[in-house]
Amino acid sequence: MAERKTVILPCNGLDKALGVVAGRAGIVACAKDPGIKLVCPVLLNSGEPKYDEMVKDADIICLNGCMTRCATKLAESRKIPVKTNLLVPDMVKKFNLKPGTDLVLQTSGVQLPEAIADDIITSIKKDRESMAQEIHSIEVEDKAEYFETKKDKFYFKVPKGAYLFNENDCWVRVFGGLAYLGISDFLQNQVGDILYVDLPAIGKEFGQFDEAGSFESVKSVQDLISPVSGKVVAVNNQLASAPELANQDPYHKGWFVKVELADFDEDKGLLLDGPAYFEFMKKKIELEAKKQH
Amino acid sequence: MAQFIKNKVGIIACSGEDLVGGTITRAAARMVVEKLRPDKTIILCQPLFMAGGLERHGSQQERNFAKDHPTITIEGCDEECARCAVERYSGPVAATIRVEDILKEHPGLKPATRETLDADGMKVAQILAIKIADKIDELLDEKHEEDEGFSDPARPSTDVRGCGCGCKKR
Amino acid sequence: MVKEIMLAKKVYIFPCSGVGKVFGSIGREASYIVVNELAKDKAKISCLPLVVKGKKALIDDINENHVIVVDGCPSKCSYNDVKSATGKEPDGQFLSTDVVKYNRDLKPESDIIPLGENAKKLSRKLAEKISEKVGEILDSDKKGGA
Repeated sequence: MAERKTVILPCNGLDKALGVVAGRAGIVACAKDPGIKLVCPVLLNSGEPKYDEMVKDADIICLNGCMTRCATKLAESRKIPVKTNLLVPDMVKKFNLKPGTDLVLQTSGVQLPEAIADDIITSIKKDRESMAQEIHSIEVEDKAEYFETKKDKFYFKVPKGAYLFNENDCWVRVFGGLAYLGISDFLQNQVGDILYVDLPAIGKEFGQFDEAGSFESVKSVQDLISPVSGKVVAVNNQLASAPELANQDPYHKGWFVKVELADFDEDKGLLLDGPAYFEFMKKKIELEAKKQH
Repeated sequence: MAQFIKNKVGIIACSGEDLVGGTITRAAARMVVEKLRPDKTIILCQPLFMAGGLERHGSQQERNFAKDHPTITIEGCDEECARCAVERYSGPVAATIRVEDILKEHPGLKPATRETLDADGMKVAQILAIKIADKIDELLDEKHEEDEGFSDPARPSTDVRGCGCGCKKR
Repeated sequence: MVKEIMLAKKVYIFPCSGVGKVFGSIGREASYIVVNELAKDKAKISCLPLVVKGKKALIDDINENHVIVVDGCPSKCSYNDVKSATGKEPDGQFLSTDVVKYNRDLKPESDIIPLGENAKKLSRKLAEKISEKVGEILDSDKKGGA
């Protein structure tokens, strides 16, 4: 999965020191990490396509100088999903650096943007490492055991741990406050060769048991019924060119959507763990066999 | 004698392309699986059988079925490739049925085109399909009456519709 | 001129002809369109099971000529069967599902005998790609012989 770019959107507060700090912190972060981009709030507000393109599919960090939160409001008005909202007054407390009121930054006023920039860069690095680890975990077949059953020449497997399922044969695997969603081996077997996958937009929010994408085979079009409520933070773009991954490796490389969980403590009460889903699946297999006779 | 699980029979058509016999075996196999014995047969895909099946099941999906269940091979010519493949990768076949035997029994039928079956080709396929169905009944110790009239030329539509993977979904 | 005719190679086409799914039949239909129409006298279909069985005369001939495989699904049976039986990397490989992916408005029916209308149209599109490849392979031979 390609790394997402990070774009900082500072407020434009030029009449207050904290606003100046916000702008300065964005500039310092970009200078220290060329992978981070800065977008001018005025130009973004102009609606010119080139600035919309800049923030598209990016992790947006809003840097607000004060409680008016202009950067965040701008993003909301332009319907741009935001990854992180930072407030300079909070950073003042965190680093114990008060910039004073002078618009020409002095001493603490110079140190504060540096500290904010370093904090942003550290946070991005941690996210990337965590993402890489997650991707490795989700896309590489781990040594986890599977329950397996067979019907005629077809084999069906269910991971013993780490995955939870709904009765629509879709799974969720949780990593902290985030989770991956996909379809079970049973479901991919039922639908046959998947030809097309339609994935939701980044930022889309849905409730538990809502549709979180769809997939189409020669036989049917089906929805991925989300086992959890959440907001989409990533989709598996590999499925566009290789939808067969959902058939060949449904629990790993064939994942569909990654979400930020909304209420997992509530949602998990309605889900089945591996052993329970395995029993449920076996009954479904027998029922399908009886229907065909 | 192999000990088989006698609830379903695997059928594997040679699917060869050199002669019309290969095309007849494909059509007959689909007729059996779709119309005549849909709940008693599993079609084993010849190229997949030879290639070994899906990696994640240790390349043995089709071959394991043929090891555990009675399997009929349907041969388009005297090379008998399907029988050779089953014997090589799984074990003894339960039965081998040959297109050339049908042609000998029905000398008036002369299928010509290998790409798409002509009228004679479809008739041969139907006769072959009934023969396969009878063999399946014999292997499973069952009896069916409803095949009569299947090869009646007056019966409409020899179309075989639907997906043959075993799901019966259309 | 006589020497050119004698040396002209042909292209073997091996569709997987998988009978379980419509994609195998699409590949098969496409292969016949190529050998009967689009690349007539330049390409021929032969028997994949015979290759796997190890028919020496056929395998020797394949190794003297070119080969294109046409598979119905990512299992790539024709590719795997030809490669393991002959030791030869095919000169061309096609996957029926690829032509389906890029023609969503022509999603094939699941009917196999006979093929549905969309499946036939897809077969034609696939055949055009295969015949282009046949042309490329044979042109490359001519240039190599020049």
